[in-house]
Amino acid sequence: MTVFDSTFYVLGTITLIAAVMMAAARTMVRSVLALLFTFLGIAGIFVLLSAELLAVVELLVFAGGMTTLLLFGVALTTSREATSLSYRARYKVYCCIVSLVIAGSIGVTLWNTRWITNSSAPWNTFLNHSAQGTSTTSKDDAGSTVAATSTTTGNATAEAMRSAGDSEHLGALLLTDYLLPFEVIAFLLLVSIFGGVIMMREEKRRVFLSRPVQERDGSATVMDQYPANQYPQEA
Amino acid sequence: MHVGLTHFLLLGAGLFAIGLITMLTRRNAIGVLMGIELILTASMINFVAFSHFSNINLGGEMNTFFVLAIAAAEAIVAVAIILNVYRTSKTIDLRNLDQLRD
Repeated sequence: MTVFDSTFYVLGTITLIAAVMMAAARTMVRSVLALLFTFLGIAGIFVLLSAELLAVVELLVFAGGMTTLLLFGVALTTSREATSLSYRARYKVYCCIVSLVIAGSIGVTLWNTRWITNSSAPWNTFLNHSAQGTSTTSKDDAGSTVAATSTTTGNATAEAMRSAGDSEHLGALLLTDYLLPFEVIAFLLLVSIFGGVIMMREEKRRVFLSRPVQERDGSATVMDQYPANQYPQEA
Repeated sequence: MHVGLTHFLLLGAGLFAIGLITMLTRRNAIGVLMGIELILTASMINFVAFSHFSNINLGGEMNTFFVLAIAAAEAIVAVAIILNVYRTSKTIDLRNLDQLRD
């Protein structure tokens, strides 16, 4: 049991317990707070997987931004008479059974798959140095040879990029190899910001319509004096 | 037992299941959105784990960036839609939202 293993178990337990609390919370605010702890645990998992920049981004975007956004959404939409958060018990049991069957089949498949991992990469030997001798026991011979060949080809570049730093290399990759997806994502974010702002502006147009509207011949009519979908038809 | 790639993938599968349960059982629209976010985060764990345990030169972490950006954009638009729905129909209870017009 290395430090890596025990840290994984602690962080995974925190993450899963917080996720279960999110799914089972009685009020939406508690649910959002449990989701915050889930995101914190996942950021720890990212640090454990030597993705430090992603952990920081996860903290900023998800634990910071997303939680605040959801809290504002909850605060703006919660009405006092809304008491029950979820459906009745029988439907919940059905949902749990279906989800757990799906997750169980995924888990059995994962457990029985022999992954060809690159466990001799420099950052893995740094983290799992005590378990290095036993880590190849789960592989068959073909897997070991494939892993060995892939290690020798990618080891030098991998070591070079790791020594340069994770975030530095990620930034360089974003502007070289992944430039087109980066621009597409930037455009997508821009469009989503526009979409959010335009959808929020809809209310102002409605308020403006409820005021007296000046007609072309000088007479003023109030648009909202009629109930919805009972506006007088055009002559 | 030594923690390997399988453990991280199992953690991702567990988070996916919990997110799916949340998405299916919440009547509140924001609760459904939270379940979707948890599912996306579980996929991000899988990407980062594959990137860490293999030789694909940070491709998994790069994909995680894009998943993260899409999740953020989706949350923005979803919350905007939910607030608009609340404005028009005064509820975000998904049982009562069965009409697309006023």
